[in-house]
Amino acid sequence: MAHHIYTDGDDRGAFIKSTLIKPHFFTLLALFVLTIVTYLASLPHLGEPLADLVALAIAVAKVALVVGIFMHVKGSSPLILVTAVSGFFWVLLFFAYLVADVKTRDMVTVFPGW
Amino acid sequence: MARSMTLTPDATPEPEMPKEHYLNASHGLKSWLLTTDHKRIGILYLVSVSVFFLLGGIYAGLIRLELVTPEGDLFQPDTYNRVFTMHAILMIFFFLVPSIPATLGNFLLPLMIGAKDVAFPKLNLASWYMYLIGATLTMVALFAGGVDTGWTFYTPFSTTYSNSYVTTVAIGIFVNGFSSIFTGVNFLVTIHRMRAPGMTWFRLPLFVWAHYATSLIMVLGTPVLAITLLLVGFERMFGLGFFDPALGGDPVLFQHLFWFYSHPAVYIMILPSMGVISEIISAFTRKPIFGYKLIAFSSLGIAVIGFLVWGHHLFVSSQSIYAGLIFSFLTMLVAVPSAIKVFNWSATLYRGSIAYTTPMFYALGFLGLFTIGGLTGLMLGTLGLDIHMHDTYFVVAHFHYIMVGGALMGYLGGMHFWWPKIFGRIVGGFWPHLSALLVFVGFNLTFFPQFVLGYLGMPRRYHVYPDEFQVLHVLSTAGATVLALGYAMPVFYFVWSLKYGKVAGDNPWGAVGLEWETTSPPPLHNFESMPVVDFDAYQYHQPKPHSQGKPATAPSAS
Amino acid sequence: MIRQLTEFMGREATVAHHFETAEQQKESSFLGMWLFLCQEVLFFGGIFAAYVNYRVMYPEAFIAGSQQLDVFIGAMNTLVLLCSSFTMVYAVWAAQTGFRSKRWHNGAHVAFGLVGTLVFGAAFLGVKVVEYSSKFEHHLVPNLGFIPPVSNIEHPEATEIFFSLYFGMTGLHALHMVVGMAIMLVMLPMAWKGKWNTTNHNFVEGFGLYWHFVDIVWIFIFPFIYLIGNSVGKLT
Repeated sequence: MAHHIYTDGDDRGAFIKSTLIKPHFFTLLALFVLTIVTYLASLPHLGEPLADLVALAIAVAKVALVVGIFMHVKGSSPLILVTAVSGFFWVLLFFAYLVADVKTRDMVTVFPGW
Repeated sequence: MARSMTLTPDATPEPEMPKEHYLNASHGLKSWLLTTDHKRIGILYLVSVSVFFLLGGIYAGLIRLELVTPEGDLFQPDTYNRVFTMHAILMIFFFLVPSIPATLGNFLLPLMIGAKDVAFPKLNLASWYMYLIGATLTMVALFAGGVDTGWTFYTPFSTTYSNSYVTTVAIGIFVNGFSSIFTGVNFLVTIHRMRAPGMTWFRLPLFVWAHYATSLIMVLGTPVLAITLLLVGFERMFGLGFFDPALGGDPVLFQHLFWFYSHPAVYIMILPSMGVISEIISAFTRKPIFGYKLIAFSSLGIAVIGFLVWGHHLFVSSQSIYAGLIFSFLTMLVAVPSAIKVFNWSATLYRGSIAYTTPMFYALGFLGLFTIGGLTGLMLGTLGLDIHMHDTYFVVAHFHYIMVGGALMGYLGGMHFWWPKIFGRIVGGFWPHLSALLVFVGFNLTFFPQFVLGYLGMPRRYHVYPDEFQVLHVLSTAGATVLALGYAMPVFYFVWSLKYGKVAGDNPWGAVGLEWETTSPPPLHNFESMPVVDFDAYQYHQPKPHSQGKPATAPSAS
Repeated sequence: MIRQLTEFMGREATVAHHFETAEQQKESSFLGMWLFLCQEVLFFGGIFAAYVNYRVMYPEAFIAGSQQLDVFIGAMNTLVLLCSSFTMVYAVWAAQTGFRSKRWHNGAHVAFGLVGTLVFGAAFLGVKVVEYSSKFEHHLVPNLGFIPPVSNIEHPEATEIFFSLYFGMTGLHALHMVVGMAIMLVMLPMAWKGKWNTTNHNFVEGFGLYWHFVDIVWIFIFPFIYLIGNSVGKLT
């Protein structure tokens, strides 16, 4: 891939324009490797919850690569970073409440003497 | 005399209408339907939202009429279900949610921060069309026979059993949701990126802060409602079993999904209203607002904590009692920022030079009604008490105190306050005063008896009831009549004022804020030149830091 | 219609009237796009929430349902989608840097990136079609003669919920891809003509963000739908 140095006076660094395609290509390779790893890791039936945790951890790593490098959040303004993270954070919070509710729904303790 | 301390517009020479403004910048239907001017879009929304308020009001009237007698003599039970459902859907999704943000917010937000327009003017117009498409779909369903699930669409009734037009209305609300999301995205970007030089975050009017918080909820909450209704639609159309009890579908899951949006949606309705109240109270006490930063941050606090309390709608839905405990606690917590606001407004009133104008009447009404609505909300948020009062008229009364007594009072107050800015004509005097009074009296007469009814055990959504409840129901219906009169009057004097109202001039109230620095109505691009802000918000009776009269920006150097 | 659309897409060549600087316009369009993606996250978050809820309620049924899917095909499709994301990055990169080769002008490179994305996207959807049709053969489509694939577990009927979610999640994901591909078809000739270049590339970048988001959704769908079946041995 050609090295093409590029500047357009955008010196505030709000949106880093990568001058090289190479880092993106390496990112793609990393994503490939992670996909293959997550596939291979699923073959020996690790059992719950370990299998789920491994799969999720790898998925989060892959998403971090896509968001950080493909989507140029790395090097963007903090505002963009906060926006990017807030959606995921909010969904996670929702999940946490849901799981907490479902898991404790049948746990009704009747104290003796009440 | 933009910053004069006098309230009488007569003190200055008779103002004249500016020669060129956004209303006469272009003509014809096309210039309105294809406009990207935030001011015109605000007016498009004003007209459409008013239509749906009228429709929703007619349904409310029908409900109250049916409830005059203990027997069901006006409607079949199923018809009654459709009537209260349509009342709620029209009022909530097509009136209250867009009411202040899409009309006053659209009009004022760029003016208040010194921008020429919102960040994405075309998206803004698209938002109005989304609203129209959604509204049309809902109207189609309405004329075909309506919906009978209640506005909450609880499963499995909505997915499996209801034979009314659930899918059509669900799609209508889904589409309408995008109008809300577009508005939210637009406002957030506008507030972040379009502020005039010198307009720092802590110089923003509290109206803007309130809209920032509202937009956060719109962007983070509305899509969850969209997917929830889509799942209901998929289940009805394709038979996918998301909530099917035969497969082990979980009705509580639906309620979680639904209320994850719909509880914060209440804050979409009330927060902009709170922003309006901050502006009005400061302007008519002639004092800087008490505790500016606290009010600003309490808006954000309400938006954030308000997201985490939805489970208090599920206290008796077989939700885990431990989840119930947490939600109950968080519900208490969300009262704190709301109370901070009420305390600060009251403190602003203290030793202010209060002017009893129509907007101020509405604002004072808001203070009382919102406090009652908020405190009864705490009662309902209490885990044990809610088991007694769940799904009774107590709940109905509570949320009407918030949504009508709070949100709607703020909307009307804001309309009276900014009407001179929007159309350049003054609305004031006897009739507006009377309407504010009728709304306040009528509202209390309508909904206070419902607190008593609910506490005595009258359930919601019933069209027949035991004889002993009749007195209270008749009182409530009588109040609704007064209320309707109070709501009808503004239509007439607002329209009348468009032609015959006295010309307002730039700043008829002698209020401060960038929107009062430009002409009324504002020119097409809001300001003749880019405003430079060197003053804090609400600088009443304090000389400005750089006191050179008025900012270099004020376009009409009269 | 198409002409107006293309005008709209290439509009940022000049600064719109309500912005002061190109910088402000760029920052606004990016923040706006990210906020839009934020609501997309919540949109998919809703159906993922339904998944999480039922997964906790019916763990065995979900594993059994997942075991009816081919993990290898899912993994291959993930690789295909990742490639489409890379070609999208290439298109954006070419527009940003004004990259040109000896043979092809800058616009051609942007267009190549888009064509690559379209091809990989189409391949992904093709595999999806094959997968869907095999579900019909195995009576795994909800409401259309669904037969629970296993019986010796708790709540075998809940496998139908799993497949409802499978079709719901992958269907919505595919729908997002179709919308993106339709937009790309409109973009292609404009890209070739050099509409997007070093001074004007907000639209391609914004669209790139959208496409990467679609990729992200799949990255989560893959473990949620396909991999969980492999956590234990075959259920019957």
